[in-house]
Amino acid sequence: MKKTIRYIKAGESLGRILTGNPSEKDKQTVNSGWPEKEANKSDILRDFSDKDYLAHKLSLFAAIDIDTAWQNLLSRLALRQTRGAGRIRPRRIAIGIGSTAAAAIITFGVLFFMDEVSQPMLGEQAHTILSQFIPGKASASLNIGVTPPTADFNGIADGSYLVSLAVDAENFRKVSDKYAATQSNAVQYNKLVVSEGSEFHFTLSDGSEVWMNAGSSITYFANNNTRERNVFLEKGEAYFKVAPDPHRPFKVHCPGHAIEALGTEFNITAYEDSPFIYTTLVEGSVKLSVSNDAEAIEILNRPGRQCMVNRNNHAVSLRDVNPRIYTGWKEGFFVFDRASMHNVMKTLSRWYGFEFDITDPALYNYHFSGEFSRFDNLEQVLEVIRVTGIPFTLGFENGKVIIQKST
Amino acid sequence: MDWFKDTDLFDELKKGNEDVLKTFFETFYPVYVSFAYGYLDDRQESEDIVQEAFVRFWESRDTFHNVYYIRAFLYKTIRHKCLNVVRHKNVKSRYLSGMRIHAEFDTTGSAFFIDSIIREETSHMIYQEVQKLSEMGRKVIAFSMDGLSNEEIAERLGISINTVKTHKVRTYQQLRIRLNELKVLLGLILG
Repeated sequence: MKKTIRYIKAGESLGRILTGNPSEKDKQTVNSGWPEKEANKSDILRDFSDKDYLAHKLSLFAAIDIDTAWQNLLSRLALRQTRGAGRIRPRRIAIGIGSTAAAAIITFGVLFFMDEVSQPMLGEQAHTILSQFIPGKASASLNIGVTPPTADFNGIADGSYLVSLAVDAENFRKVSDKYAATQSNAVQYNKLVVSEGSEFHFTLSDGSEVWMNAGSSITYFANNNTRERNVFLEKGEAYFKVAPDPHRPFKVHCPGHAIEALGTEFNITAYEDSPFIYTTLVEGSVKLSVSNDAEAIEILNRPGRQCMVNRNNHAVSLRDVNPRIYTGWKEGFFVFDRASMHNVMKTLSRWYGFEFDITDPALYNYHFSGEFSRFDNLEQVLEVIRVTGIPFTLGFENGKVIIQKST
Repeated sequence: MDWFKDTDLFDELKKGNEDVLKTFFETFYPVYVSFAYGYLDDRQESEDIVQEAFVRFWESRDTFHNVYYIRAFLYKTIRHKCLNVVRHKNVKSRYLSGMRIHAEFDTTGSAFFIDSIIREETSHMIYQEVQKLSEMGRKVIAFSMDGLSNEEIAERLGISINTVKTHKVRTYQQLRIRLNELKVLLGLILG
């Protein structure tokens, strides 16, 4: 939020300079305090010194019928109020649950068994705010003709591309074909960016399938002209179902290590807010090799075998897990097994698209187990978590969800 | 009304004063529609999304610390809603060095978000200055920006060509869009 405010202020300062009544602070903002890295000042200034550009912007402002819009807003507000009055009170689960803090209950389909009770967790306001956070959708942004990162991610790609466009499940193949390299032997890499509040499933040129979770980026081979099938998971989470081809190894490169597969299914979780990158085997086998360490090789060869690599020191550890916890998202479920409150909220926020703060560190110690459909509404999900005995209430501040400890 | 300094206005807004909401809405609505339009290229859809975002703000109004938080919240909310809508709409027009070119580029990244905010806020400042001008002066500039000649403007407004010219000169002076300052700034950056 703070950053966004900074951009607003930069724009205001520039506006005051252009209209001829800047303060000293405005000049300072534009000359030395500009968010230079993010916004190209010379492009913006060039555009604003162009009368056509300015005319285009101002005529867009002027063409807006504010009176009508205001009337529309009033009726929207009125509509919500009546809807609010008649709506069903928040509910809670009617099955018996012990309210121990780390209650590990399983809540499969539990939302169907909810019953009316008297104590709502949330006020009217919270209900209306939460109802606005909606589950994600299948969409992504496709950058065609990118330079792939180097295998160790040290020389990360320069970010250039030939074409960038929004894609969905239906037009992905069509768009990819349209922009396929024309030379018969040309190597081409594309990059898919799935923002928070989205997910995406697609098929690679070799027939392998990839599912991408919210907040993920992947650079992948876009045709079959490469000797190896290289995929770069820059961040986020992806599930791979690899088509067998013994002559063309399939490699997923992550920061610090690579996973090589031959006809197999596995999931990689590499969100940047976690120090670990998890590779979870679902079927077949994979070989994991750590960058710059020829001896650090691990084989995962049974379902549920999981390898954790520390981003910072590349330390590797192995364990066995229930693969469903790591792959449920692909089938449309959140699956939590003694997940910390922080991790639960992190996962939900990526999918429903909200920001949050946990104010009391004591809440970090609570864990939750359970399973939800990713298409349940957020309020129901939070209500289920709360009735397991985790003592929290929700507040709202500056558009953020604030998770407080209740007494 | 100065939304940038007046804390009383903000307090009234938080209390739920609808008259104040109205002036807040009138001030900022066009900025956000223009912002959403950059993502969607569709006026009606942009207006829908912006109105929904205002509803969302209004419902959580008492949680904001100052008006900048509200404005940031609106930007973020609208962006989120727009990205949910963006599907087949790939081609956007962009303006570079005075030339209008069509380019396909990534609207989902944060660079586009930041660039758009700065452009909308800058435009808004200029727009507010324009609104302070006399009505006739404004019309003259608006027509002129639409590409009409002095003769055409004179005919449409029922005034003489000389009056059009006078309005133009005076209005541009008042507006003080300082092309010279711009050039200085450009010089600083481009060396």
